[in-house]
Amino acid sequence: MMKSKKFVKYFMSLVVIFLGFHVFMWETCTKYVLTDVMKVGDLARLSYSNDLVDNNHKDYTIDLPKHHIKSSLYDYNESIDLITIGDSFSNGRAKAKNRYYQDYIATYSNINVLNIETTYNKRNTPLETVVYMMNSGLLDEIKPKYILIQSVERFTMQRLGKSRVNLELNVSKQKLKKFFKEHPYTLYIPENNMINTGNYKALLYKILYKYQNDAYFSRVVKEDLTKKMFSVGNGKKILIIKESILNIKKTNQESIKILNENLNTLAQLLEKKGIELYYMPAADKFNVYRKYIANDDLPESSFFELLREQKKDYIFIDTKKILSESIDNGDIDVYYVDDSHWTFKASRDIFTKILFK
Amino acid sequence: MLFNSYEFIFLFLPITFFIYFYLNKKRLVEAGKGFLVFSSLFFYSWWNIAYLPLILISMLFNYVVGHQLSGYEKRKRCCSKKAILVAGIIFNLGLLGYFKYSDFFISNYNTVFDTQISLLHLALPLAISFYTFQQIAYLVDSYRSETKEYDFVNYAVFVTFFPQLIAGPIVHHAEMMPQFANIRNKVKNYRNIALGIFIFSIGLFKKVIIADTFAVWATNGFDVAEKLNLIEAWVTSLSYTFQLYFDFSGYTDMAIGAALLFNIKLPINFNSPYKATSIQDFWRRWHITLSRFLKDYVYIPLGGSRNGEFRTYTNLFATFLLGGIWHGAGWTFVLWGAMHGVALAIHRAWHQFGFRMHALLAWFITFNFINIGWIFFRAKEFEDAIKVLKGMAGLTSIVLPNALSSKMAFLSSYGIEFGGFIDAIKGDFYTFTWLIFGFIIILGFKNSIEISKNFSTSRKYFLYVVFLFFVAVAAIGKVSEFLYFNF
Repeated sequence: MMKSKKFVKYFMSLVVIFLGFHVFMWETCTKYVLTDVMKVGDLARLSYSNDLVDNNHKDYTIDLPKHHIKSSLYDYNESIDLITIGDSFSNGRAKAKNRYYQDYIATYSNINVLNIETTYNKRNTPLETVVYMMNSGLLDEIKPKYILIQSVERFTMQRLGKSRVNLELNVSKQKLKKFFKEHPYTLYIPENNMINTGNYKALLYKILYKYQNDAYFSRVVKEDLTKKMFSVGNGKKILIIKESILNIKKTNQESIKILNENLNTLAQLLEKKGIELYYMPAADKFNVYRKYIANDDLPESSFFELLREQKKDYIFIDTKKILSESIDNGDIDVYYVDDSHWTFKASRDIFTKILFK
Repeated sequence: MLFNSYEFIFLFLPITFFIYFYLNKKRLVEAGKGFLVFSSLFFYSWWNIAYLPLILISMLFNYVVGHQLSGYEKRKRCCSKKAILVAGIIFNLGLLGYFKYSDFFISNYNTVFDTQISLLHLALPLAISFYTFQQIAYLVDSYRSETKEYDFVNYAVFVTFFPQLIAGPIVHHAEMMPQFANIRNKVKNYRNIALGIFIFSIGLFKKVIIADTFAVWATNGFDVAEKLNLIEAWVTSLSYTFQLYFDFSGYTDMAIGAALLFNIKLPINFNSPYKATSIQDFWRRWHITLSRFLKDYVYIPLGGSRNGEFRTYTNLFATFLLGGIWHGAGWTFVLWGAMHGVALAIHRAWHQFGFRMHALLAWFITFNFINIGWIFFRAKEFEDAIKVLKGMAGLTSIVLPNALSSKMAFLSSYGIEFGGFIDAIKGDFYTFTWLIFGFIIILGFKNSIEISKNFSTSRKYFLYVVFLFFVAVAAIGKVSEFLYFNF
């Protein structure tokens, strides 16, 4: 048994070491990924890859002449040509410059675009929200010519291709309008202290990424590319969210068939109201860059290939085809190296080709 | 400033500790006390400096009244000693009533008399319930000549001593001031420091690791009370029962541990309350200093058990009704207090009639009564509590895990569903693991005070301290990267 004074001194020594460790990790790594949240990519944050933080995120200007309207700010007085609804891609998570693809649509097609920021009750899918809008009479009030449903590829099956969409969903128009008004798209950004659990992960990942492309525990996979595709570092490193690899197996003939049928059913109903349905699956970064990833052991997605074969009553925006062309033509930073979202270049390239007349 | 915050643990506490003992080492005892008051008021003001004038006014007023009561015989007085005491108590209760209960009274008045008097929307000063009761106890003790204080700095130390300022334990002047006066306590005592760190670490771990885990399911559950199925409702109520205990007792442990660094022993406040086998036993184990206050300053002055059985029951009921009101300005708190008052009366009658019960059954009934009582304590409105109770009775819906659907499909004909049986509260497999863990801790283990009685500066306890402290401290700064990862 040690003396009380020694007990306390040993304990205080550990406290000093503990504090020293956190100060060191914070100053050398963690603060670069956990602060300034809007300007650091999600994948860099999840993997603590401070060496791959894309500093091009700092420009938050929107220099397009025409902008879209957000549902939380819409007062139903202005006419709307296109309604968009989707996930973070539809809510400006392209970050930085010209982060809303809707602004490219508004500018290039010269139409008024309304973005529904939150799916109804936050639990429903975009498809279901459109059904609510249709059955409540809200679409009859807004009278859009087009509706664009967007969903990132890796979550599409569980959102839109799991089961037949319920066409009986209904709610009062007033309630729906109130919900959209009161639920803007928000991002919860917690503040972090210097002493935080991220410092442990940062050290752990720094070691483990040397031995395994996902550091055994990480949600982010780091791979090498066969040519320079980004402006950060040597441009030949890519960060990929693991779900985009794991969820490939959710895509099969059956699930694609359900997805397509859901979209066709909705398209037919909307056509009776004079509305054209567009469906834009945001291609996973992994899928777009797959052929340039040096590691041949990774699977390949067949999402777009299977969906292309289906007979469609809606207009399909093939983002994989368009963005693959862009990177094949040598364009770099079509996606952010440190984030799973695309940059303004992707929005520009897609909506230069896809015009709403 | 919270006890479980980095600024408290790594800045405020060590700085206050070193300066206090440095001043005492230099024999600047008064300066040391003054510094303790200053740092305690700094600690208090950290929350919001706007609250500071009120505690200073309250302190000054009670010091003057207490001074008058203590030295009553030595001076000429315009009024009786009792009148001074009553005035003092009225002032304290008036202050508490104004800030805490004004809007409650106004809204009820509006309801009963169909008026539309505007609510005052007063911000509730931090810790007012605690320092009010503490000072009322001081005034009564002064009246009874059980204590006296002629030095304002000493009195300020008693009221503001930061470990117990915000949420107790509610201390008596007579149990605190001799400790501050004791010359041996002016010197660092490494045994007390080691023990203080140990108890503080236990409290920190209970709060940050255990209580905050249960808080997630409890909060989620009460937020969607109308949708809770049978399992979700029970998980919600049990989660809150555990959250409340580990949070409050963890806080008290941190208070006791922090005080011990300064060689001050605070009274214990929790003694394994969920092991209680009767409601009376529960109140001897839960928030012990509040029970002590209610007994010494409400129940006994009302007559206690001295005036016949009927009067004893009404005294019990009134005492706990007041206890309920003290906790919050709302009918749910009143109901909670009334429930406990009735339960105590029933318990007394049960014993009076000579009935006895098997210990396991007694524990089961006691625990469930307390668990149900906490639902009213937690719910914002009476209706929300009823919704949770309905869920617990299976009146909303009964949903079982999907894995049972093949073997128990026949239950569907009785309206039982299979599927996401814990989705509404965002629970998972670990929820049940934690609940089992919670029961094991509260029933199978010694509490922190019992454990600390066996404390020694051995390697074993050193490892306990290191584990508890560093795991808890790390968890304070838990980063959820995926929160940013927003789809």
